[in-house]
Amino acid sequence: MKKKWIQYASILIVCVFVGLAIALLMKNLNLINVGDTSIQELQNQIIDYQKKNEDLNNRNTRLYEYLRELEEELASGRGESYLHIVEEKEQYALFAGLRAVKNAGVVITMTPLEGYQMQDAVVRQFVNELSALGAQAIAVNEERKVATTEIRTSQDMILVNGVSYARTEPFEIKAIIDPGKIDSYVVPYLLSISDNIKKQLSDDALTIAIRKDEHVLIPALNEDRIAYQMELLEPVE
Amino acid sequence: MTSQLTHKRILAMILVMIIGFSGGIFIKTMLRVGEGEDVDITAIRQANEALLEEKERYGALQAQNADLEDRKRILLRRFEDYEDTGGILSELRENAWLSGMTDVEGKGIVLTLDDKPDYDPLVDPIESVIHDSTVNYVVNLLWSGGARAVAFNGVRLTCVSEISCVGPVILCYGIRQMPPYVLEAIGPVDAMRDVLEKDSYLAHLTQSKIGIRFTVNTQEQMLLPSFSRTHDILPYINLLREP
Repeated sequence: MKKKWIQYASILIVCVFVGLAIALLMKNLNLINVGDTSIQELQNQIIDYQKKNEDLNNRNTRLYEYLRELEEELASGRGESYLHIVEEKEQYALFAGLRAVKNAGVVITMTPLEGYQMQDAVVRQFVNELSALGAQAIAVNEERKVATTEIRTSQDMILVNGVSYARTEPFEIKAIIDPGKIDSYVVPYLLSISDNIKKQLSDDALTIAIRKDEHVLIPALNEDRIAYQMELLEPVE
Repeated sequence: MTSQLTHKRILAMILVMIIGFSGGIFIKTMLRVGEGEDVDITAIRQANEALLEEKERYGALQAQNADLEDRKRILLRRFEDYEDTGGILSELRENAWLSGMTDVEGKGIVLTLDDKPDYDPLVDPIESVIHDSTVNYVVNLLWSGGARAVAFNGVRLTCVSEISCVGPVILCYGIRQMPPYVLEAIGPVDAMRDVLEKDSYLAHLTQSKIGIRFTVNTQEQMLLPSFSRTHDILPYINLLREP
């Protein structure tokens, strides 16, 4: 009788242990299922996708509206549809840098001091910072920055869109940028970049002047520039 | 009889140990629950579900975008018959082409940039991690090599493309990008490869001491997406006024 009781008790205890082990195993499986991505990383990914969705949704909404107007006008036979096409064509031209543009912005003038030759990396750094600050049009020495613009040193010259500029001469970068941010953020930020560059290069390398300009005029891309050469691209129709 | 009793005692001891061990684990688990581990798991699960929803929405928007672009193409073809719009349409196509607002195909290269494996900030130099300046540098090299169109992690680079960083994270048009960073470029393959292979800074980055991983592959035919596949251009031109 006593032996049986011990057997029952043993089985009961083993069952309790097995139950606990299973519970713990399930808990571990749960942890594996949710993955090893941290909550912070997941939240960042959600924010990224929300931004992407917002951008694409805006594009689709406008495209839908554009198509609706085209279809309506085509159906009514009013013959004004081409006005929308012209408008879109001009938007693309603005975006591609094919039109001269003006508005408030900033002008950065870098003047090499005697014995110093301008570095392409310095010009590129300012151009990249301006792009990151939301500049909608940029010109380097009156040369419009477009998608294919390269800024690189070639011996005593710096090439911008294939045009050579002497490294001993001043370089001027102009940019059209949100007027509401120029005084409060853009100029102070560019000044801090300028200080960092001067620290790296030493004080007797170059002077950098940064100023706000209410009437920045950025030229269109010249038609003989390499950006117009599209022979290696085939548009997908 | 004595031997049987000894066996039972050993068995009892083992059982007591097992119970003690299980009890310990159980108590520890309960304490962890108290510390909020389960709350974290729930939050992670909810975040995963929210992320999945956003990804699904993105897929749906991409499909919608493809439909709308197709409809637009078909609609614009109907205008080709009109004498007064034919010229405007060809200008529209050229401008779309130059602005990166159309998908393009051609021969090109695909290059990847990645951080040094097992990067340790305490031991490895800062150059062992890809920075925005590294990506911008390589993009500039590609343009120098004659690239006609470039996409960064699947997004077309344009006049206003900005590749910047916030802390350790690289952003392109304000969206976070994760390594490996992929640059696709259509253009003269030999010239582009030549520029990349001869560049001293890239050679410096890829030496074992720095450890940046860098690969280049030639593609006979590749397709780069239009900027319109991911963005609307209006927010990027709304400050521009014609003189």
